[in-house]
Amino acid sequence: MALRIRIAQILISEELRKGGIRAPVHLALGHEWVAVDVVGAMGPGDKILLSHRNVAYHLVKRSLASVLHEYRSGRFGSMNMIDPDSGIVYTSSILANQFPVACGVALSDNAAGSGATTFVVAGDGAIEEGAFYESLMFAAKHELPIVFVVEDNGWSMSSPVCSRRLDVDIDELCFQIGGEVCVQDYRSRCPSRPVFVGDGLRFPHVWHMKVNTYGSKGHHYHHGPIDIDIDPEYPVLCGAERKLWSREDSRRILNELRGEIG
Amino acid sequence: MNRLKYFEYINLKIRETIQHRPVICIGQNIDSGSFIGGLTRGLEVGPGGQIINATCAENTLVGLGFGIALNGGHCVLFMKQLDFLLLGLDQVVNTWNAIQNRKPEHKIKGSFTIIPVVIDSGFQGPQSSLNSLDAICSIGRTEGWCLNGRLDIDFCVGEMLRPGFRILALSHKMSNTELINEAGTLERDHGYVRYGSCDSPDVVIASAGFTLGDALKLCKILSSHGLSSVVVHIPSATGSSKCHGCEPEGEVMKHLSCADRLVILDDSKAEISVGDKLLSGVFSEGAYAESRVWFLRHEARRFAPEITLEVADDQTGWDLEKVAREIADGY
Repeated sequence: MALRIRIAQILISEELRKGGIRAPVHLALGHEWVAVDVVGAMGPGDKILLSHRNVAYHLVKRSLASVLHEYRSGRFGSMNMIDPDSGIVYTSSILANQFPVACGVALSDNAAGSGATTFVVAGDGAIEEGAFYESLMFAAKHELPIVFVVEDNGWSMSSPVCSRRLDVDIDELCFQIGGEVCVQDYRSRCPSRPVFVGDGLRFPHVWHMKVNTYGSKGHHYHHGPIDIDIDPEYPVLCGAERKLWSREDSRRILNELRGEIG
Repeated sequence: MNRLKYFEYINLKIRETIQHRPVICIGQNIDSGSFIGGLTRGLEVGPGGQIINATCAENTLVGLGFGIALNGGHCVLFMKQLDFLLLGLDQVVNTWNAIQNRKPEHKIKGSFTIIPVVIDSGFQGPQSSLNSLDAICSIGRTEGWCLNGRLDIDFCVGEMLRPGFRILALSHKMSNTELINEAGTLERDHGYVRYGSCDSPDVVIASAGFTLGDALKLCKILSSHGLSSVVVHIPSATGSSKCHGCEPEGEVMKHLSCADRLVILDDSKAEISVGDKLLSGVFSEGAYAESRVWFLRHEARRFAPEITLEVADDQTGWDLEKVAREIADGY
């Protein structure tokens, strides 16, 4: 699945280069495993709220053709693209804006006794916003069934986070506020160990997902066509992926996806 | 009923509306302390509802309300001061934009209502005295209402669990005053309330914001000068409502075809207020050429000489006796 999402993103990038998409697109090369694991941890009735960098999650949940269709014609573009039928109930183009909304969804489900879990995803830049602390504190106080997923790639707003702020111990900070912290390191191992909800841990959870990100000339994969030299027929970006993925599988998936979108 | 005070009556209506319903009420000190001046005293909700004494985290509280509504639930957020809502403006503007632009099949079925108190007493200094609900509603493209008297309170509070988002603002100045319980006609479909004589009035009084009390007082003073008047009260903070299709301009213009004097009262401090919009509408219809206009505001403006501007002090309000004398004398 992660390989399929990687290739699908490259095809989206090709569409961008051809001018077939006018909406801003925020690719997530290197984040694919996180999306696969998080969506895999979702149960029936669970909901997920995403940031502007939501493409990998949409590609786990739905077809490339439907994602491209939304990019081309949807009034929400890419940054607010939702798919409530598959559980993607809200996405936000505003950094950390989705944390409070997710708390509302979780509180509502909790009050109704639905048993559902809410997942909310953001990058490590978003934890600089006050809304992250406010929401985590609220969720901890009310023991909301919510999982805060922090995709930590060390970059934020097109610059390394270390160039803008002190190194924050995310795990200690979240633990002190009241979150059960789970660290997954995807940088040297793909896939990481699968993530499970529950396991006797009290809510809220904070999943600290450490990932490598890929790009050249700063952080250009962020927005618009990728400008790294990547082979669409075998788009591996690290040694671990080379061990997992074969050229044959890659070519087959590429052909399937090209056929899907015509 | 007549002797109930403003906050007491609103408290009563809120309790009637939410009891037995799965409503999540949230806010700082809503179940302790002064209960926001009594506003939230005795709240009870039905199964699936909750009363939550919340953290000082306005951005999260506002986002929370949208999340609850998004999930099909009902949330009422109480705020001790409208100023606090500024900390949640990202949610009011951006989240509400994202929600109200959803496809028809994904429109929210839940409701979210914010009930803030506008600190309009005039003693709080430059901070803690935000009186611009209309500006907040404008930037958020949000439905907002200023609760004044029994008729508009019944109308707005009674509908606060309707799917969608709205702000129902209360006046701090009026909190301990007797409820305005005058007989009037609520034009439910158009979102305004009419008081007084409709039959060829001499003066049309349009009231916006929290000026209904002053408008009705002016109406009585004018009566003592032998002048009949009609009050068109516009509780909508934007002068319009997507749901109710407010048409206050049309109502004012209709009465101006008989009357030749118009008084607009508006206590908003926004750069462009409901009163300004109304005045603009009257101008565009050309009615002002045949009418004298008095505009009672809280902020000075430069207007055409045909318009008499009365600027109120925050603490003392307008000199309504003086305004009535000018109107009666044909000033």
